[in-house]
Amino acid sequence: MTALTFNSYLFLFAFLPVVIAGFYLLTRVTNKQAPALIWLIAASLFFYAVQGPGYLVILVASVLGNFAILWLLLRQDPNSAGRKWTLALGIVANLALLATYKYTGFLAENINTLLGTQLKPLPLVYPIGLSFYTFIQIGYLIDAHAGQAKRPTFLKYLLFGTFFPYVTAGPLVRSGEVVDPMDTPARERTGGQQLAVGATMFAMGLFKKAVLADSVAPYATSLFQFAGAHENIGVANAWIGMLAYTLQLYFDFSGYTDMALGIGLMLGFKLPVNFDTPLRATSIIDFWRRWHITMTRWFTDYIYTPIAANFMRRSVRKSWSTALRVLAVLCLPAIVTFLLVGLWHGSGWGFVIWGGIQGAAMAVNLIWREVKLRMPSILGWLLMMLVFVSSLTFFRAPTVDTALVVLRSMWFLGPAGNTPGQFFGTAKVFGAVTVVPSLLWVFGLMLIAVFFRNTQQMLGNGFGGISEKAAIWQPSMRWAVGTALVAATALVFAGGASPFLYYRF
Amino acid sequence: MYKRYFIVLAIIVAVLFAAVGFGNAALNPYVYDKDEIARVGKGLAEGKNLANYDPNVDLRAVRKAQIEAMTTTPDIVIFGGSRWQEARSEIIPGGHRVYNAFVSNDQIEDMMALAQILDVNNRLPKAVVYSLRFVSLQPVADRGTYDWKDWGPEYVEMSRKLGVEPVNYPTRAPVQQWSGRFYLPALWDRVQQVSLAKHEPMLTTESETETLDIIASDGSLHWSKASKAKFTRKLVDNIVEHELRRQGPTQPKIGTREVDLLGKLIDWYKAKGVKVYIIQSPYHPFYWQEIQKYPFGKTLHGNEKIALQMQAEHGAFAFNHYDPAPFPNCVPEHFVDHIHPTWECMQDMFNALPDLVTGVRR
Repeated sequence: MTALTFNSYLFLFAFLPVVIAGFYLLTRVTNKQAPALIWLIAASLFFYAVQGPGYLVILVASVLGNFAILWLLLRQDPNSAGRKWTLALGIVANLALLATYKYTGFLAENINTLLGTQLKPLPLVYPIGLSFYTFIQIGYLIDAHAGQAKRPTFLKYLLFGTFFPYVTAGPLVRSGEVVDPMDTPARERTGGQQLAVGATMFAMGLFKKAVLADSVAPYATSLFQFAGAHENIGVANAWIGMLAYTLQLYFDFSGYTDMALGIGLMLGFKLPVNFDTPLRATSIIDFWRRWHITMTRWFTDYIYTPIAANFMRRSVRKSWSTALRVLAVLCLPAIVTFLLVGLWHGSGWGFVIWGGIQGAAMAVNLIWREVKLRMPSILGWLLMMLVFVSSLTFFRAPTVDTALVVLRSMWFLGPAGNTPGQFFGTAKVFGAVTVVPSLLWVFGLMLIAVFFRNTQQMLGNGFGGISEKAAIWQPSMRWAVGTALVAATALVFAGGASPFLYYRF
Repeated sequence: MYKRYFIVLAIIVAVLFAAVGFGNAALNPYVYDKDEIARVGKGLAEGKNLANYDPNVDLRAVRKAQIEAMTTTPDIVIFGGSRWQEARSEIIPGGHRVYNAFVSNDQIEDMMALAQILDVNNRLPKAVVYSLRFVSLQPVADRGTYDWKDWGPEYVEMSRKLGVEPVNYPTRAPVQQWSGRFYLPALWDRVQQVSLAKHEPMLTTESETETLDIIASDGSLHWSKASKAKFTRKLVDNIVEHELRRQGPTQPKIGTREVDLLGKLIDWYKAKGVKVYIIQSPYHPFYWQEIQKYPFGKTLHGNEKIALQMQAEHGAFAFNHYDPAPFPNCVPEHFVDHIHPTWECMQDMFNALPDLVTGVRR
């Protein structure tokens, strides 16, 4: 089946225009909300069905199952033990589904290594976006149990669980961000402004993905191919390749998010921001406030805070020493949370190690802050970059062994390599000027990632606390021309469509 | 206010998008201009050769146009991927009329489509040579290639003749071919190429030029002197290393549906009195030696088994020659990369085969 990703021509020229046109038509010809809602649900189910055979069955089963549990939970007395059991049942069922598709292979592999058994992984194909729609639904159940989410109608919940802008790769929305707005008639949530801002945001996202991320991607691929073959890399090439991967990941995922937010806005939903110029962060704490914000929020609210609060209560009750309290209240929750973050991204030791490094760095940063030590911003930025970029070796490499080859090269422990021109290749422009494209791309994209205004800062519209007045975007001729250039460039780069990195998580 | 914003935006996007489309079409007439392709097909059928900047033309469209314009029927039709590109008629013993219909990324649907094109034009040869690469029998859902969709209509027609259901339209719609026309990096590369070119593409009687590669009237490729100079031993060694790293760890599947289709196609040819050969072309010696250590090697051996299965069950003639060892000229100097042998190597292989028309061993 032909791919229907946000950057494919089928999506851009057929699916999206038809969905938006149908939605506006339905919201304008009738005052009833149901037709437009059903239209969006149908579009979402179609979008997901096209992603892969059999995927739709799993999504629909998950959404129907969660709605049934939610319905039961909201009928029970808020203080009853049964309500807690219903919540537990919902969480366990969701995690079991996720584990079945995502972790049985990893588990079998490790049991086989430890016990010498011959267990085989289940012959299942991982459905795109399972981690995302499982987690948003767990979040809904927890919020409903805490009285922070209201009872949705079946149609509203169906859209919440399947909405195509975020079902494959987020953002990890909260119930209130999707279900609550539906109380307001769609006609009042949509119009020229939402279409203009949404389309501009979408164009910027497409540009990030098709032009920036895809252009720098080959250098990361080359690095890991050489590392996989245990060839000499050298310090400079290792850093160029890893910076290329960091920038690819950032522009790919934040580009996808911009597109998701843009579509959401055009359809009357203000989806939550996921990135806030993270590569400008001056500490690892700061970084995780800016990178994949909705995932950090999910893990903070449902994992980190409950663990930290629990230890805090114990430390007060049992009068723990300061050192023990710091370890239990600050370090342990951070490390546990990020180990789970790593596992959420993928079933492999590389992801666990990557999560462990983030957790350890976060713990050190929390202690640093606790003892009120100071560091110049530039040093903080450098430290954050060194830690994050180095840790991504485990995130990207197919094996821990390959990650270590890259890591050793980055930290002067590997053999010397060729020059970047020999390693990544050179290009001759019109047969005259020889350039090293890898260096140009990495340098140029770093400047954009660190110094440019991000999409929210340009477009405002209430995102990230930036009001419309503070936004620099205006529906002016100048912006129309600029946006058109961005959109057109993105479109003519999107001809060779490539998948989004976060689809696999 | 917003209306004006959208109108300006839409107009500029449409103009720039169309400009790239027109640019690509103008600079790639042998890909996008049907009339030009028909003219070239006619010229090739009349015995002329096509000289172009490189072999990046829509080979499927050119093949179809040439077969439609043919006035005589070839004795042998060779069909494989670009690894067969240097199989020229003079290296095939027996003095037969040979047409090399190689394309890029040959797959089972292409084999079916070619049979359809030959059949409707009454050009079915006495013998047809097919070949298996890792993509040839790969399940549709696993493929990273889409070139076969160019011959979608012919594939559908042949499916009907074989009594099988073709894959559905969304799967075979040539979306990537449509979108490729609007791909800016391709235009950028072509503009540089055209601006630096010393000669214009043309139909010619020459079989080698200084800078333009030739697609000969027998379908084979003749590199220009400039292209040949690029294939240095160092370059080839680097490509071989790169491909080992890239492909080695993968193990592409062989689809049961695709194997079944191949069997049915061979039966169809047999019923029409056409001999079917399944011949694997030699790999670069170092690549072949090293790939045995990787999962990818298992797929290649799987193809060899399928060829033998087709021989045993459907009466095809199988010759598994991935291994270059028996052929004295299949040495690194006679490869342009890991999989593409030069004609000298291919000649050794053809000399080891029986006469393809009579089936008699020499």
